[in-house]
Amino acid sequence: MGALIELDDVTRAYDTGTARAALTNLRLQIEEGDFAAVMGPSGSGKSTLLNLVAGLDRPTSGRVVVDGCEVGRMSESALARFRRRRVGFVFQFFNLLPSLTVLENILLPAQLAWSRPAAAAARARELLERLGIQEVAARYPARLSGGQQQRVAIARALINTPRVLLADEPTGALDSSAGAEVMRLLQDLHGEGQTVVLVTHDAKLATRHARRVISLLDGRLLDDTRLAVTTADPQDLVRVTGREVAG
Amino acid sequence: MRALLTKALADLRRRRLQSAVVLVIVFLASGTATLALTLMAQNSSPYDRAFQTQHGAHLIVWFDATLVTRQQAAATGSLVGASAVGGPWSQSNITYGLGTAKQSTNLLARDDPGGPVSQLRVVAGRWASGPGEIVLTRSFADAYGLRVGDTVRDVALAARPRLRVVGEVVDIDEGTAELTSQTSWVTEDAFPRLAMATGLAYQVEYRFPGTPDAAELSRAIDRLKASLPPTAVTGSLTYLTVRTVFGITNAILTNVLLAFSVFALGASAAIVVNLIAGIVLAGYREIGIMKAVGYTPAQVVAVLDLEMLAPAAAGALLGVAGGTLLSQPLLEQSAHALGLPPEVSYSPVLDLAALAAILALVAVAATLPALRAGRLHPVRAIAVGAAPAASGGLWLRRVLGGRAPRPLAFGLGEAFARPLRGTLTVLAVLLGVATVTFAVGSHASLDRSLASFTHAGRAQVQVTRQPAYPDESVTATLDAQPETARVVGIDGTTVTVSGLADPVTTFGYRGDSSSLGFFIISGRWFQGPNEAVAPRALLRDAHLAIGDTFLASNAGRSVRVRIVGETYDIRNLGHTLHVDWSTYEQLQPDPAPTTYFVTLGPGADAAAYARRVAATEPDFLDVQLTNAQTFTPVQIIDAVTLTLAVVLALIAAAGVFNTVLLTTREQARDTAILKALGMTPAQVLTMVLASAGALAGLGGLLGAPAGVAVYHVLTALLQDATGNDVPPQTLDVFTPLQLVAVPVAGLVVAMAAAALPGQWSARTSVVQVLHAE
Repeated sequence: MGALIELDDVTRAYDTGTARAALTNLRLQIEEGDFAAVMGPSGSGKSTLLNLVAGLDRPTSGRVVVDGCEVGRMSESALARFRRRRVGFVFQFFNLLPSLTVLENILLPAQLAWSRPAAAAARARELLERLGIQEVAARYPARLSGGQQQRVAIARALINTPRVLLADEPTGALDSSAGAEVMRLLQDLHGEGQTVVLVTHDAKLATRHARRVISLLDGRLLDDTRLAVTTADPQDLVRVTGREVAG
Repeated sequence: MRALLTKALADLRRRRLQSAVVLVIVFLASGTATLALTLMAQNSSPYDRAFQTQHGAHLIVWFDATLVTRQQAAATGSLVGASAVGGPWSQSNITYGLGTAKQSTNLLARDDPGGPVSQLRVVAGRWASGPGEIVLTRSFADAYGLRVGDTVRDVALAARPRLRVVGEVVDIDEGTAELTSQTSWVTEDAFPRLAMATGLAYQVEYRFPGTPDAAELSRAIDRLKASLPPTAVTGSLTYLTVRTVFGITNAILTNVLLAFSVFALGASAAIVVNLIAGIVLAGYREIGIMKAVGYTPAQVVAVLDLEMLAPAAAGALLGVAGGTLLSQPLLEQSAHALGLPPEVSYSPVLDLAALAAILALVAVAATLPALRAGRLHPVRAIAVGAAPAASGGLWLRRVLGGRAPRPLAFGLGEAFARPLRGTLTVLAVLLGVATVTFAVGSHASLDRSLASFTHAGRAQVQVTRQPAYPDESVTATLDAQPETARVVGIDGTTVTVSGLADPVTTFGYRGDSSSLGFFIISGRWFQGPNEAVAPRALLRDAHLAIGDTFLASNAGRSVRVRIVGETYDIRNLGHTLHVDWSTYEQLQPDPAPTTYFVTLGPGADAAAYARRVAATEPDFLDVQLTNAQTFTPVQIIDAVTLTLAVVLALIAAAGVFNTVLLTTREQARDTAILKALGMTPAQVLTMVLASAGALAGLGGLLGAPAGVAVYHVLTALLQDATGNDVPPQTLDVFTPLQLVAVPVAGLVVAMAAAALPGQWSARTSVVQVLHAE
C-alpha cells in the first residue's frame, strides 16, 4: 500500500524560549491500513507529531502530507474541512462537549460537514451499536464513565468515516480495564481496515495492539519498528521486523 | 494592603482590554452626568449674577401714553411698594431694514444707561449722545450681524431716517433675540423724530425688596390697574419670565441629559456586573489559590473591586472634567448674552460629589458579583477550576439543533447560556437603541414643532410689511402673482383676558388659517366669530377650559370669546390667543395684517416668487422662504440629543464587545474542540456573531418601544417647560421604517463590536488551547 501520511524533513519549533524544537527534521511515512503507535517520554514530540498530522498545527519547515493534502500549505478553512473529512481525532481527556448529549456529540462533525441528516443518523446509530454505547445515546457526557466517554469520542471521530484515526493517549485518563477495552476497540477497527495512529507512552499497550512502533526522543526519530503478531497469542508474542534508525 | 494592590495591578495588566472598556464607558457616562448636573446647578447662575449687578427690574409695566401722563406713571412706584423705580421712558417701535429682511424692536428714549433700576451694561461702543445715534442689545446685534459703527435705517417711517449704531448693551430685563422681542435706545431729544404716530407708551421698571414671587407681582399689577384709567396698563413682564426664557434651552437640555445620564450609568453598571461575574466564573482556580495562600473573602472581593475601580476612577476623572468643560460653552452662551465676562462656571463640590457617586456605583456593581468569589470554598474552587458549564441555552440549542446549521444553533444557545450575562447585555443594547430611537423622534418632533410656527410645508413664502406700506398694496401684489394659491394674513396685538393680570399677545388671522398647520391638542381650530384657541399655559392661568367663555378687552373694546380648542404655541411660554379676523376686528381698531403666509400652486418656484414679490417694494416688504428658517435652541437640543445617542450606542457596543469577549474566552476549550472536529474559522465567527446578534436583536426589539415610551415621557416634560401640552402630531413621529431601522442598526453595531473577539476566537490555535487545558 502507498503512504497515507508522509512527513518529509519536518521541524516544528515553538517560541517558548528553549533552544530545542518539538520536532526536528523528522522523516516518516505511514501506510494506509497501518496501526502505528508513536511512543516516547514526555516532551519527545509525539503529540506535536499527531497535531501536525491532524492539521491542528503546521510545521515550521518541511512537508506534512496526509491523503495527498499538504497540511502546511492549506488555509485555515481548508484545514477545517480536511479535519472534518479525512481525520478523526480521539483526545486523552475525551473533549466531549458537556452541553450536548452523546448522540449530539457524535453527530457534530457530520453536521459541520453538512452531511445528509438521515445518513448521519444512520451512521451514528451504527457506531453506537458497534461501540456498545447505544443505551447511553441520550445521556450527557458528565453521566458516563471514562471508558464510555472515550467510546463516544471514538464514535465521534469515526462519524465521517475518516481516512485516518488519530488517538492521543486515549487510555491516559482511564483505568486499566477501560483502557484495555478502548485499545481492543482500536485494534478491531484496524482489523476492519481503519488506519490508526496512536500516541502513547505505555510500551506494553503499544506493542500489544499496534503493528508498528515509532519511538521519538527529544523531537527526533529514535526507532521505527514493525511488529508481527503470532497466531498463537496475538496479545503477548511479537516478532521484530522493523529496522533501527540511528538517533 | 500590599497583597491586594499587587494582585489587582497584576490583573489590570493582564486584563488591559477589559480595563479599557471600563474606562471608556465610565468616561462617557460620567461625562454625560456631569454635564447634566453642571447645567442644572449653574443654569440660573449667570442670570442671577447679572440681575444683581445690573439692578434688574422685578416688574416692567407699559402704560398707554394717551391715558396716563409721565408724572402719573412716575408716581406708580409708591402705589406698588417698589423700593426703586426706573423710568418712565417713552416707548415706541422701530423697524430696521436689514438687507432684504426687516426686524422690529421696541424703541426707548433714555439719556443714561445707569440709574437705580435696570442698569444697562455697555459691552461695546458707548451710550447714545444725540440725534442720529442708536444703541442695540448685544443679542440683537449678534443675531443680525450688526456692529458698532454700522448704519441702520428705520424703514417704518416715510423719511427712513438713518441711525448710526454707537453701542451694544446687555439688558437684564429682556430675553435673547432668538426668543423675545428686543429694545433699542435713543436719547430723549432724538425720540420724537423716530416715534410712531400711534401706540406710544411709557415704560416703567420696578424693583421690590427681596425676591417677589409671581403672586406678589400679580397683585402689584392689579393695584396699578385699579388706580389708573381702564386699559391704561397695556403690558407687563416679570423677571421670572425673563429668567425662564434665558435658561429655557439649558433647562430643556438638563431634562434630556439627566434622563440619559441615568441610562448611561445604568448601562455602565450592567457592564461592570457582567465583567466581574465573568472573571469570577472563569477564575475559580485562581480565586481558590488566592484563598489558599491567605486572602480573606473580603480581600478577594476587594481585589476584584480594585480591578474595576482603578479604570473607573480614571474614566470618571476624565469624564467629570470633560462634562464640566463641555458645559462651559452652553453656560457661556447665557453669560455672553448677559454681557458677563467669560467665566468658568462650575462647582468643585458638585464635581467631587459626581465623582464619588459614580465610583460608588461602580463599587456596588463590582461587589455584588464579587461576593460569589468571596464565598467560594478554596479546595472546591481549585479542584473545579472554573464555574460549571453554562446550561441556560440548552433548550434553544436543542430546539434549533435539528433545524439550523450547527454554528448558528451553538451561537444562539450560547447567547442565553448565562442568563444574567445575557440579560445585562440585552439591557445595554436596549438602552442604546432606546436612546437612538429617542434622538430620531426628538429630531422629527422638533422639526414638526418648528414647522408649526414657520408653516413650512403648508405655506412656502412669508411676507412681512412695514406699517407705511398698506395692506391693500401687499394683497394686490400677492393676488397678481399667478402662483399664489392661498394667502393668510396675520396681525397681533395685546388683549386683556379676564382673570389674567398680564395682557395676552393675540393673533388674528385673515383667510383660511386652519390650512397653516397649527397643532390642535384638543377641541378644534376656530371656525367663526367669537371663537378662540390658546395653548395650555394661558388656559391654565386663566382657569379656562374648552367651551368656557371669557371677556377679551383691548383699546376700550370688549368681546366675549369662547375657547373652542387648545393649540400649541411656545411664544411667551404658552401665553397667546388665536382668533379669526372678525373677532380680531372687534378687538383692534382698523386692523390690517402685517404678516402674510402664501401657499403657492403646484410646481411653483418659491425662491423666484419671493424675489419677485420683494422687488415690488424693497424697503417695505420682507419676503422669506418658510423652510429657510432655523432656530438656534432647536439646533442645540438636536446636537446634544444626537451626541447622547452616539454615547449610549458606544456604551452598548462596548457592552456587547465585553460580553462576547467573556464568552469566547470562557468557551475557548469548546471552540477548540469544535475546530478540531472541523469547524471552519468562518463557522466560528458565525457562531460568535449569532450569539451577539441574538442578544442585540432582543435588545433592539425591546429598545425601540422603550425609546418610544421614553420619548413620550420626555416630550411631555419638555413641552411642559414651554407652557404647552404635547401635540399628538409630535408624538406620532416614528415611521415604521425608522422603528425597524434603528433596532437593525443596533444589531449591526453589536455584531460589528462582536466581530473582533469573534475573529480572535476563530484564529486561536486549537493546540494551544487544548494544551493549556
